[in-house]
Amino acid sequence: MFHTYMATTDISTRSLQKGSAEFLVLSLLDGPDRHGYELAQIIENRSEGRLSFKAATLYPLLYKLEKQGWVSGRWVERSGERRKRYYRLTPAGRKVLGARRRVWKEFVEALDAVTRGARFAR
Amino acid sequence: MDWKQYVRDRLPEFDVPPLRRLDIVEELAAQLEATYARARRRGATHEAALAAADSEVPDWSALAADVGRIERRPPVLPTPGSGSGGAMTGWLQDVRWSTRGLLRTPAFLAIALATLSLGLGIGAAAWSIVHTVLMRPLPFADPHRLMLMHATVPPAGRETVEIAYPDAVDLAQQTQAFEAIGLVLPYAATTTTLDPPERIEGLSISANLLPMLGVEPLLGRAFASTDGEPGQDRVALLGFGLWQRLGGDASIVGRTLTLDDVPRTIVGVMPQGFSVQVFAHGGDVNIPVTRADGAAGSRAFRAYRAIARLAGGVSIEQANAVAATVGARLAAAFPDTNQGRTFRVAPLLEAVVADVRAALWLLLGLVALILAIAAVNLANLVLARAVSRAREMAVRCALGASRWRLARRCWGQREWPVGSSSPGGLSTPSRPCPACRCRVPEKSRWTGV
Repeated sequence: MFHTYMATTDISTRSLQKGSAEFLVLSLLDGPDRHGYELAQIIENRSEGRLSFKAATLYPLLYKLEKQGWVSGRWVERSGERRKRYYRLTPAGRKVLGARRRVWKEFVEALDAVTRGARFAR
Repeated sequence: MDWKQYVRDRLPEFDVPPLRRLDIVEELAAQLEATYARARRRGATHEAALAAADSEVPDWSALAADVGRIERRPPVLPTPGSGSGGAMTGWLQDVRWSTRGLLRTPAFLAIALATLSLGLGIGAAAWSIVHTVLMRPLPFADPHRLMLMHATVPPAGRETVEIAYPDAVDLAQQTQAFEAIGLVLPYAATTTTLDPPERIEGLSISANLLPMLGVEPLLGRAFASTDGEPGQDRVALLGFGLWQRLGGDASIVGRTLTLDDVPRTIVGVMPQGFSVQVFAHGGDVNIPVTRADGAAGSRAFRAYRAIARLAGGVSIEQANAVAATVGARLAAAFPDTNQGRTFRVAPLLEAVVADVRAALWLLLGLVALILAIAAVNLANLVLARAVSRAREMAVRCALGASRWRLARRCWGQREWPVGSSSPGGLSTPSRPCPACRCRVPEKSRWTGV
């Protein structure tokens, strides 16, 4: 499992950041439709401020995911509010999310196995 | 504060369609406004809140470059069957759009559904009645060759279906046009086999009737040719209903049924739903036509219905010509009873439904008219709706929607009520009213309506 992962996945820091950002957004959209600011707030709140998605990062990412057909956005108007663009996961995005979840799970398990082994070797 | 203007002032131009740029500006403005408002709620000064909003996009040029690069990419086309695009997704989107549009106008939807459901329901019910009563073949072998004998009665030339036994026998024996002629006579008796005794209705039938119709008893046997002979005529064929009332025992064949104090041996049980179709008469029991019966031997006793089966290859016209010849011969031989009487045949089905044929076709015509009125009303509603949405369609067209896509969406909104109302309309109870039923001579024609 570990070797397969290492052989097929680039785990450079930039790649991890990029992949994790997509993963986070796709995960949060696997449920109710959400607008951009709501996504940013959830990420910040749930990570207790350790992760922060600014507009300059979030919207290019959402547009990219939309271009790839993984999410779709639509404007929603509610009385007394500025209209907002809500995003939702497409069926293709759901498939990608499922694959990403498996990869992340394997990655975390691999990291855990490596670090646990290092601890016992001391 | 005009946040859209704030973003427009800072976001450099990049290669993106104008409408798309407006969307991006609006979305970024909403985010900055929300960040500003959140900071203010937490007690920040205007300047600090503005700085927080400004920190959302540290480098507007980099953002424009990023978004521009993404927007220039061609969209990833979904693979077939992925469910995220393609022709079928377009259809699903249109269906959703049509549904939402209709749900936003519940009055229109309700009127359309009610109109179509009512029209379709009435139409389906009427068609069911007409088809079952007028068109469904009689439940006999080769029903198209089964005829009902008619006689013309002098002096006015009135037509009747009441035939004398000897006339029917002569018609059968003196021509080759008929394979067989069976006779039927209404019959009623009191049976003491039921407790308490009860008046039951049935038929007196000739022995050749059931084989001619191609009907076999459920249990036992049909009447044999000897069952009409004197001394051997005390037999009975039970109707299915009476058999059930007597316990439905399969060993009932051979037991005794007492009719008008005369014991008769049960030789068989008729299948459920059996009817000779020419009498609106109960089918509790069948007894054989008795050759020794004084009435059966008289040409003046005209009470039988004669059902004839055309011989193979004989047309109705040929059979009528032969029947007229025999009639003339009988008139010459028996002037006291047959003077001026002629015979002809007509399809049994026509005779069975003759009384209600015109009324049912009229009913169907009226229902078709109602359906047409319902359709016109709905068309008017849809047209009015389409006119009110002309502006929306023009905008969609200007934004790049194809004519095909627009037509498909309009079509979807029209078809949705039709599809929705069809099950309701077609499930409308289609049983005819009792007043309609009593017009048909044989109630079994309603079975399956």
